[in-house]
Amino acid sequence: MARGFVPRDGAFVAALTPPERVVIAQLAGDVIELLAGEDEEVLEPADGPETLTAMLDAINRPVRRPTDPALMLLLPDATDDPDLADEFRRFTEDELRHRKVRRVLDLANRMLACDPEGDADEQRDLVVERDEAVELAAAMTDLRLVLASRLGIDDDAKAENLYEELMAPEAAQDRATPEPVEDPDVPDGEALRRFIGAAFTLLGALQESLTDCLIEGLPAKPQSQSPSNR
Amino acid sequence: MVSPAESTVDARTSLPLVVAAFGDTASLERAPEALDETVSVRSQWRAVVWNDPVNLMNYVAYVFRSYFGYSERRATALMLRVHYDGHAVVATGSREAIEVDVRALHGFGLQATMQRVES
Repeated sequence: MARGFVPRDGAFVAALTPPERVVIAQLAGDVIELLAGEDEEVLEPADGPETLTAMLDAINRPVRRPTDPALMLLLPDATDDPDLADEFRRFTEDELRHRKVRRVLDLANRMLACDPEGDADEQRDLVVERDEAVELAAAMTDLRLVLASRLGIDDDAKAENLYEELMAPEAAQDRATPEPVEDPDVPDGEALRRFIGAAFTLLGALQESLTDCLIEGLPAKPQSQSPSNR
Repeated sequence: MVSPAESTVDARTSLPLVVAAFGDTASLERAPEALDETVSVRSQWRAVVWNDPVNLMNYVAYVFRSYFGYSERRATALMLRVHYDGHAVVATGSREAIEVDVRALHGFGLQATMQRVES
């Protein structure tokens, strides 16, 4: 079993077993594929957004709102006014997409950084520097958003049910008919559902403990980065 | 359309005086348009964060503290409002400022939208 993040020597350290690392790396790979989509260039370094060509490109390119509900959670509409949402997407989506690809890739690389083979029960340290922790926590949100969408979790009650489902394996296994899965893309099978659910829960525990570490390190009087009035 | 700030300030402050001085009904007919312009110049926008079943309560509160610089108490209150009411207004300001906030909130993985404040 994994152990959540704790502060150590100015950094934050968790411990994961090799199978846990492999699972997270695989799911991260799926999310990168989802974010990259048909747009191959998203994996290549972006042109400086300041160049005139890049700006003209952005203006002329048609805005494509994601059709996959999981991708919509990663790249949401900024407003319920469709024209304004498109305009916002036109000028901001590429950067958000690249940023998410980068940080999910970083998460995957960290999972694979130590030899994933070996004793399946042996916990290996996962060390995260303080200044890397926010993006890593956000990458965990990215993964969890996609997993939740695939599990059909779209409200708090379903999220809590999943937790109970995983905590009571016998009850889940005894159920004669598995719950119908609404999304046809989700393969049938209680086993797969439990596998994805376990990964969702594992990532949640990691993110929660990493966030607790970050909260502990907040200055007493934090500085706002926001330009708005408060 | 956005009109120059001075003229709308005039429209807002001087209109009653014009009406009072001349009793001119034509001014009254023009009034709604003039007031609309005032609204567009001074219009405020707000950033709204929506509840979702994925984002963790401590993470949402952390985002409000670290990004907006809110106190622990205020960040927690806003986070609970998102959780129990389904959404909360987390910032108010010019359109440009709120666009920056919504971009940042999307960067953190929160479901956020911007809305014009109805006056």
